[in-house]
Amino acid sequence: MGSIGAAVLPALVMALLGGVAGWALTWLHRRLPRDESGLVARIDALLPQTQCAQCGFAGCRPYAEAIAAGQAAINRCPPGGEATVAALSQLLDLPARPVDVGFGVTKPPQVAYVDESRCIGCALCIPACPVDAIVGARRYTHTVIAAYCTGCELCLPPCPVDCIELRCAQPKPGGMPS
Amino acid sequence: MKWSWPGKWWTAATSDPLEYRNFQYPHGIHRMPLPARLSFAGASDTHCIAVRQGEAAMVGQVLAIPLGDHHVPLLAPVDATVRILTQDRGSFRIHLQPSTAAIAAEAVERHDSLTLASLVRQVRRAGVAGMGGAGFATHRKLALAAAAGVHTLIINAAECEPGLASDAYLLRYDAGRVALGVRALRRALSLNRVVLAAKQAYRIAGVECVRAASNYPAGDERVLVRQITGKQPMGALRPIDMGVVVFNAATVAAIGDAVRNKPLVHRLVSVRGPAVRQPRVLQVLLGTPFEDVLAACGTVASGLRILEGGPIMGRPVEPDDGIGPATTGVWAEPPGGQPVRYPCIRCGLCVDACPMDLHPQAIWAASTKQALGEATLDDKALTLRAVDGCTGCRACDLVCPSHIALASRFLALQNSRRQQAAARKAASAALARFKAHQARALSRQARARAGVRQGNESAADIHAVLAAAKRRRGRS
Repeated sequence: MGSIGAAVLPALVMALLGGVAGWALTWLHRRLPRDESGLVARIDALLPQTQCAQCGFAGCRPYAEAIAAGQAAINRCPPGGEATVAALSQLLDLPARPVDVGFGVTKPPQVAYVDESRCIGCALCIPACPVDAIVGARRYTHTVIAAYCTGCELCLPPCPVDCIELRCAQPKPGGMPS
Repeated sequence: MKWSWPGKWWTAATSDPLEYRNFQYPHGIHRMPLPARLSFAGASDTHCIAVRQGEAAMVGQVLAIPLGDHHVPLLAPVDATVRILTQDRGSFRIHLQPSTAAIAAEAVERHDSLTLASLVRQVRRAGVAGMGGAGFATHRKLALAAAAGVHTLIINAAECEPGLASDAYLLRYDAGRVALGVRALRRALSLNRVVLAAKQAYRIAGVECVRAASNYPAGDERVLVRQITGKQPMGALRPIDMGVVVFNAATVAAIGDAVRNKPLVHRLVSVRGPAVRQPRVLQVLLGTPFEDVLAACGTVASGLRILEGGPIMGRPVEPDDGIGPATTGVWAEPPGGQPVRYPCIRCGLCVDACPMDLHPQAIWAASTKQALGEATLDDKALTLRAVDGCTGCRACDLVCPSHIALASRFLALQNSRRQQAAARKAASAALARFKAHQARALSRQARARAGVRQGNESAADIHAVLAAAKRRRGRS
């Protein structure tokens, strides 16, 4: 008995401690803000945040996570283009390659434009926009806030009347020379 | 100032632009005869042409209307006929043939326009752009300075390109216009300090006078701000963020004119250079072709290299281009070949020459690809960050024994860094909106799961809200 007790009691205590620590860690993981200085965050900061999902992931953050885990190549971001690949290759010390055309082609900056004579006010494009750049309500004409639009093209498929088109972004007027 | 110029044996072999520092100009402001034609160039994305072929334009009439608030209108400087109007992709050119009559009589004098808003309007209508060389729209700078709450005005008359004397002549012969501009600015911006930075001592009532150094680039805006306030505007920090606004002396004079409803129609131009026979400070109508200006100084323009401004920062121009508000001077020299470039030998002369205390050779090295092996990524980024302080004055180019074009690389780097910063800012704003979007989608899902639909809340919820509203009304 004594020898069994001497073996079981420490095991129970350790299991209890382990359970408490595990629960505490899970709770902390849920409650505390994510570590923003981590590799994923540093990769995410280099991505253009269009959330366009052209890379095959659900957004920029999931793609950053995949890169950090070594599960995705760094040249799958067409909106970022050469500059993003160069920045990622510098950060991760990987060879820079041209953007993989299988995921799309890099285009000059563009913004969505709603043809108001054709818009029927169905509001289907509004939830599709990941960055809240489309303003409108049901049975009212919609419009795009050009300054907010990232040109991700995600609003094109849901539109039933194809009244959205992408146009070249107007360059912003120059500020004060310093 | 720890750096000096030039007097170093190693620069003796190269051509020294300061050789021409002390041109002997005749006294007085020479008015140029009325040229046979005036030439104005513009771009169709900044201006919209407002005259027709053959139209008789009056002095001060708008030739081209600016699009947006970042540009100034092009005005007819004299009564003239619109002769040629060419327009091709993205740019246009207007040629005026001045009428033989003299420049129109003085415009109506009006002194009531001293509040900020009306000053900005008057200055914009008068077509005033920065006359120290940059040509930034003066009404924009006024508005930005007022928004930043500046308390000090620096009048920049420390022209430092070799041989420039336009501001000196303005102060010597026409200081009254500058004084009027100072009065308007002091009132509109509620300034408590006005400083005149010039190479000689002047006396203008209520204006503090500071002697600027005689070497290049003493007239650079940032160098002056450091000399006068003792603080250095670095990188993205502009002088107006430090409460200081810098206007060129001629710009202040033009503001003084604008207050009296006189449009900007002429400016002083120093014409000099190794190829110029009779160097002069001329009063020139805007739009006068460079070849006419050189002809007035006994020089034939063909075959010469003509620079707008001066030999260091000057912009090459064609003989039939027109003088603009920002043309401080004209420099003409026989065309020379490009110097042979050699690799950097790390002599450190550029470090001594830099007026902003940067380390040009280190920035140059960090900007080349080979530098990766020598420093860590963070070191390299830190070195490159310093490039934001570069003013592009080219002091480093001029002392470089290997003739490396450092400044142009630095300006390109600055530009790409600025673009990257803008892209990063846009990306983080997009991310914030995306997070809000996701949070909304999640809460919508949760409500759907709980059986609550938008506009279809339970009757109990509605009664609770109504009861609360009634209680509030009963209390008030």
